[in-house]
Amino acid sequence: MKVLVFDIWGDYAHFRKFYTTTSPLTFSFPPPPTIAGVLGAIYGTTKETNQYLKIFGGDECRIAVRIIKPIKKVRLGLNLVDTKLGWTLKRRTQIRTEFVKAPHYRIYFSHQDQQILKDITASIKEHKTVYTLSLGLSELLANFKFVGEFNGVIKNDNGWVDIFTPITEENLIPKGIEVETGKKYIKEKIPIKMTPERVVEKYDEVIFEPGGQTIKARVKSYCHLDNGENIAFFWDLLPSRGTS
Amino acid sequence: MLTAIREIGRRLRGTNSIDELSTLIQEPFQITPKKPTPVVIFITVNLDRDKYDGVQLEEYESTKVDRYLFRKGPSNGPNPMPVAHFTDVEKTFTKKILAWFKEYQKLDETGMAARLGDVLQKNQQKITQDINDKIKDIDKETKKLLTVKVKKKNRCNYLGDLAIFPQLLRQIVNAQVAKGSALNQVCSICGQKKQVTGDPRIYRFYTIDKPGFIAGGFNEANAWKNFPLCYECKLDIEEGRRFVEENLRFNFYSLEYYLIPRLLVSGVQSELMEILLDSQKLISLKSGAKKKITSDNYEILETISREKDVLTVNLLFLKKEQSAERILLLIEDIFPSRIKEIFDAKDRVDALFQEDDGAGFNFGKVRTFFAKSSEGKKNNDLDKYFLEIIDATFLGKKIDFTFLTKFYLAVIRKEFIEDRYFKARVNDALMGVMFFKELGLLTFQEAKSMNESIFSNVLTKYGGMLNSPAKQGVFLLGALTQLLLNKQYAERGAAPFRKHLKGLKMDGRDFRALLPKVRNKLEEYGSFDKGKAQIAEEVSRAFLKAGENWKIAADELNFYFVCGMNLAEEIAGIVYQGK
Repeated sequence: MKVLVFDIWGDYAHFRKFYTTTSPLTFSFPPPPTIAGVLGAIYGTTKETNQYLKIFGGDECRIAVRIIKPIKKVRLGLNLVDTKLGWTLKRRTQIRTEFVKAPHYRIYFSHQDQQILKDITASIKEHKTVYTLSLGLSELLANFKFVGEFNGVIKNDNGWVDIFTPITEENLIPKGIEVETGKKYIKEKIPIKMTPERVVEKYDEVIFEPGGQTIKARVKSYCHLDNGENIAFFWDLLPSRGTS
Repeated sequence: MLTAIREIGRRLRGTNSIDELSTLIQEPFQITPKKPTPVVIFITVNLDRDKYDGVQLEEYESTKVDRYLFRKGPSNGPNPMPVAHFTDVEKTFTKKILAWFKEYQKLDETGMAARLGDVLQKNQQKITQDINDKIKDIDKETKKLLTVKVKKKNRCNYLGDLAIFPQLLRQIVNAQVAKGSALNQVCSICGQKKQVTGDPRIYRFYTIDKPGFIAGGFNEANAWKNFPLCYECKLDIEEGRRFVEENLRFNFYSLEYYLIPRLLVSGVQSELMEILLDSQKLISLKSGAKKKITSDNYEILETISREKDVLTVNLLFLKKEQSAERILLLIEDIFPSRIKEIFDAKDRVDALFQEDDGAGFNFGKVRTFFAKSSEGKKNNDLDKYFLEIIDATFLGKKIDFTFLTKFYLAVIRKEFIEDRYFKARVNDALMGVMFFKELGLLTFQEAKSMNESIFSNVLTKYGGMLNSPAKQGVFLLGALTQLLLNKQYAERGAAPFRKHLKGLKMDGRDFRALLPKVRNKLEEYGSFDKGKAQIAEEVSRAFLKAGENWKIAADELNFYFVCGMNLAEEIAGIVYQGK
């Protein structure tokens, strides 16, 4: 299985936790529907029908994300238009918003449609996108860089392995985390799959190391890349594809 | 965070068999010994004769909470029951009680609510006047609750005593949840397909009262897509929230925080988790708390620090502003081992400052500098910086030393100018610096080619903070200056030399110029003895080595200077050994 790997970074990022509106908190890394949006912006899917969620959020593709720079969250006041008085600009309201400062992530992406994978790889290599990339909010512009294209082998050996990416609880074998000293472990509930109607079909807890270090874990399935990294995709691979 | 609260609620509802109604009923008041006991104002209706029967007052009793049937509703409409906090007759009687009967009496098929509503409506004026008469002697500080009492067959009933009202409460809340809900959708908390609501109204940091809050089209009908929540999870979260508010709320120097425990991986057994979720056991745990770092007498962080890393805690700093709730800070997934590191750092700092009055380091030593930017301010305006420091402490983030010294100096200068608690504040600041240094939040570069001197022990004692000749020189100059001020105090009962210190706003040039002034003044007093000469010599040597351009912020330099002033006795102890 070919896995495209690229980096994305910026000054700030905000991926709003769904249960906050007046005091917006941010997830530490972009959840899969957000990554699908990033891929959609590179590829150029239309926004109106949320096609990006179909192409990059479905079972045809696999997504994983790695934290490259340690997560640092800061809180800043945003001046928003106060819409209590209608949509015309009458006054502003300051909302204290949480951001990830200096975010830097590595995205792992694989697609059954080799043409899509090829097109996106070419775009990233040439540093081209159809729409501008941002990290959560349109104001938070992002830069990106091609890292490589690697061969990945899916493994289901259930043994202890160092995983570079956040792991979903569903993928984790019970008591499958070894707490190592010097590492932190954070658990967040994120949306995993979203339909083009913007209905989340699946939420899951993900466990990750906010400093970007690996997690020693036993997982049901992971992907070993030929650069030596072990990554866990956000959703399980289809059984028919098994090990390849 | 919500998942953790829901887990707490679910366990409580499961183990204590808490039914739906108990979860729906809320405590209208938080009873504290300091505040006067609230009063309940009852509008009594005789249902046997469909007649208004006057207004009665009773002291509020928290044991009767199931009978009052209080549950908070929207700020601009009636609560789910005709029970409301009393502000004034117009707002409470008309907009909460009468409005409830207008809106909900039709739901009662027995007709009792309609009959009560009629009586209240017909006697509106009299009731208004009676309420005003009854409460005119009650102190304004006393909180009040307004509700209805029903006389039936010569028996007085609270709303909760009549079967119909609990039933209506359930019905009304259910209807509210069902409004804008969707069937057979995935709940964001339990992940199961159920009927989900889009406006759960649990914590007020999630509202959809502005269209901009509804992502994906600003359409209120689609709000459930943003935060779908099933009724069971809503009840669990409400119960969890109630428990956390009643039992796990602590005070962090005028900032309230909630401690929300969570197991890292589900299915793991943790004795402490069991204790934390048992109100009775929790009371004894709180009263047995030994060491603390906050202002709360019952803080239990030290106990948690002894737990294995199977449990994590979230600290939620929440500020309630009228009907809104703002998250000031959420620190997620703190391991007991991190809390232990914090207490270990506190122990090391306490050991270093043996002369301290026994309280040792706590965050009060930091809060002193991060509360108000000036005394004239009504409210604490430096909360956000204080919260940043709490965040950094628990998560191990670096703190900028220049940032700290800026705020430290602001307070120290004021104390110096007003000649009040100068020494105590410098001590607090130094303790804070050492605490952050011990935790690795402040790092100082290793000193390069430092000369060995008789002061080496003191200069290195404070964790490499004095890592350059300029800093060492300023520090020792501070000590020498303090010795001069002491001499002046002893001789004249005043220390006029203080005016040469420019209100502690000195730069490198000022410090270099200060040395000869201090020396001259000491000579004038005939006090420039061998010991002080030794200190002055060391200062000169350090300044010469440091050269002209120090590249150190003025606040920072003044901080080293005041530290030197504060530790003058320690320096004097070296040069006057045995005297």
